[in-house]
Amino acid sequence: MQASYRLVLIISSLVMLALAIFFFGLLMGKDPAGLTEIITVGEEMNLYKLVGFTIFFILFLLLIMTGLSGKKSPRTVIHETEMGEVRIACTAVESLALRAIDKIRGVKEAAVVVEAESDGLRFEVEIVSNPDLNLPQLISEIRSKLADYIHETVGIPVIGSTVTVTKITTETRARVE
Amino acid sequence: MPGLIQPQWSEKNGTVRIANEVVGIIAGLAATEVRGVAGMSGGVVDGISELLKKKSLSKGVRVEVGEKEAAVDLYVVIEYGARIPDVAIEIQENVKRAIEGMTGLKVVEVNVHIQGVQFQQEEAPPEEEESRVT
Repeated sequence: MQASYRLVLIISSLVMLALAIFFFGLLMGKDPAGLTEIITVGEEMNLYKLVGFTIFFILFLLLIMTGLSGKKSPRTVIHETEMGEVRIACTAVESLALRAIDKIRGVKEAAVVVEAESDGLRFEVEIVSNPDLNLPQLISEIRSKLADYIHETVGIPVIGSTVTVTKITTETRARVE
Repeated sequence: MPGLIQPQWSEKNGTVRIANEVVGIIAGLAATEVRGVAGMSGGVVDGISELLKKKSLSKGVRVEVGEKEAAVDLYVVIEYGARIPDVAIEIQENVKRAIEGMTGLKVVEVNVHIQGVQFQQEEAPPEEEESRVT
């Protein structure tokens, strides 16, 4: 975040704190600065009202811009080598994992999300499986094949994988073509 | 930045300058030579410039060229089946060798960004007619 945006956030939070204290003071029946009079009466105080409005409106605009301008850094897996970095997009790892899982017998559909952590990769896999299968065995096969394949292809160890069977397809395979 | 021209070395008859674009093209060609690289992955700007003119040879390459050194970022798509660390290291070595050999610049960094994996259409193996009797 840029220093200017940090400054805006600090000023905004201080203004919010001042307003909170002001309203708390009103609750307690105290208004030492006589601000309620400025807000409610006194047309000669229009200049103050205009200044107040301008400040708050600018703060509002800057806060909105800060909120909307946040760039998401692309998800990548980073390898350090002697000659520089090798950055692998997580989407590429996901597509490789998906390909490996799709080849496993009994998996009808699959979705994969990968998270890169400091010591390896963590996968979340959701599958739709074919019926009449031993699910614990299928899940174990997915986990071991995924870990082996990713370590072999990407060169980074898989530190964990969660496999969720979201659905068991009820389609029956035609016995004849 | 591609397009900028940096001074490279001085000869007694004058100064030889190499455009960043040239270093980018050398790097791009050296990277795509490597077995397992399906192609370079350009951003939106590269895509638009490809629409407007012929194919860019420095697509997916960002170079920083100083007077004696160069740093390269390569955005590549890998072929399915290739082992990524091996391909990446080969890209780094090939690009470094090509730039240093052709320009005399010292390559201090080659960062490889694997942007995707290209899956080729798998050809179905020809079905052999099985004998019905042994």
